[in-house]
Amino acid sequence: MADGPGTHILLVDDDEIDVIALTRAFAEVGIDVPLIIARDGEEALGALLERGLDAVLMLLDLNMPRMGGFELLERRASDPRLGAAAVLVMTTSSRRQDIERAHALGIVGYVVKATRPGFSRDFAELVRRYLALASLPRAGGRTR
Amino acid sequence: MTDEEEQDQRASLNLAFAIGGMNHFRVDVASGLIAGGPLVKRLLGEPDAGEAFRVERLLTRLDATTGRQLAQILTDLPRHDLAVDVELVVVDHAAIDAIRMVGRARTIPTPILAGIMVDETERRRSEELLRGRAADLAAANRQLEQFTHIVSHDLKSPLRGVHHLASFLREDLGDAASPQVLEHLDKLDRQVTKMSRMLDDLQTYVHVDRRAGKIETVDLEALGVELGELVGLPDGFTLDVDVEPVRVETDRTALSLVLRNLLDNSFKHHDRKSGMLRIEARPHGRGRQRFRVIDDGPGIVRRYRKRVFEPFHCLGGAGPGSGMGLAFVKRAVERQGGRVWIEDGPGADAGRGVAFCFTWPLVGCGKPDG
Repeated sequence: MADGPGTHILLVDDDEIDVIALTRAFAEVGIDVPLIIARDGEEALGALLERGLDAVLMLLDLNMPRMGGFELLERRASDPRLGAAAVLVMTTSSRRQDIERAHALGIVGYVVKATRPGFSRDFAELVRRYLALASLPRAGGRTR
Repeated sequence: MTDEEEQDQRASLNLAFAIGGMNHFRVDVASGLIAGGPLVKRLLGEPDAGEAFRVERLLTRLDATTGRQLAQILTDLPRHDLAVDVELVVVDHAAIDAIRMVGRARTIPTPILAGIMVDETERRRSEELLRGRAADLAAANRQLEQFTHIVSHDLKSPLRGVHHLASFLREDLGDAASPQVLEHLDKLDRQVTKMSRMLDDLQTYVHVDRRAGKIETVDLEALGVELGELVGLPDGFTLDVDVEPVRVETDRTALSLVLRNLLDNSFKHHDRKSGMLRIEARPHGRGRQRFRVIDDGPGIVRRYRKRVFEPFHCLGGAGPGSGMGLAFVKRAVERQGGRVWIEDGPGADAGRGVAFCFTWPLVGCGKPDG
């Protein structure tokens, strides 16, 4: 199946409630970009390779069952077909070595998930503005 | 010297050697024989000639590295006045692990190497034991740290879930939520925030030992003033900084964290709308400073004064903190080699106030130079 052209958000997170919280927050701040949800790195790979997504902003959790975030980032670094996604990491890990390792693997940002009122909304606002202002890479190197 | 005198002298010398756990030894370079005290016999067994052993026998008892070292020394012997101080590792011997030979080469009339030999087995074994213990401790600390990381990370996920679910309920209920439901949702949120902070603080607490302290020059008075601004006391509260403007060499971050935690604690547990806090620092013996953080809050009953430093100990029950602040203070102070305790505050007669005191060793201590 091909989701075709246009920008997509690929949300890769195994935490069901975090996914609901973000989905609600995206609606709240008025993000109307189609949202694809993957529960781990393998599902995310499948979505990137098989669905023919065009421009993707990937919101990636690091700690997931099966293929985790780092493994996905490493696969992406060695497979050009996976390069057509800007990756924003969102995780509970605030460890310095995780932050540096993720940045070394070419992400556009790293956000630590916080347990405080308004966090989901702040994060959704960041995503909305990022989509409005930033230029995403295109699948196959096409630029439009 | 008469024979009797010589015998006396020899006896005293032997006694001194025995008390010091030392043995004499003497290597005759020309004959290749080594003779000496009981240690030499204990090490080499039955003698080859008279009281002496062939040096080769000693060489076969040593490990490859130190054996080569001794062989080299023996080769060098005839050439110059050699001073030798070597530790030799013994293999194949149940009771002796190592010996130390301290000697000088002399030519009287033929070249010899003579000196004392000491059994180093006990020292070596206790050193190994100590190294083993240190390694065990380091491994245990690493495990604790890993465990804490996992605990605080893995426990936080479901906690965040609870937090989200409460806000979903609030949003979905909208106007339909009764004041009581809203109040319960608020309480639920506060519990979540509190537990989240406890998990953060637990991690900080465990990491106290791991932090590599950077030693800086600190103006204590300036530090006190800065802390007052950092803690951000509300209107009605004043902070009096009673600290001499001395410059000291210390781990600034650690000292600042300890004082901040104490100020936080005094203010959080204050029961009135206004109050006075004071930081006091005085030299305390050589190279030490004694700090006191004094408040005029409700005070702490004597019998609880030790318990408040235990992790997750909150006298107020559902108090405002995580219960880790004072545990952190104790651990950080003790890590520096200081001590922490509680005294009555100046308002003790009226049953109020408390003084948190701690000593803090300094790297160097002097008056400001300008």
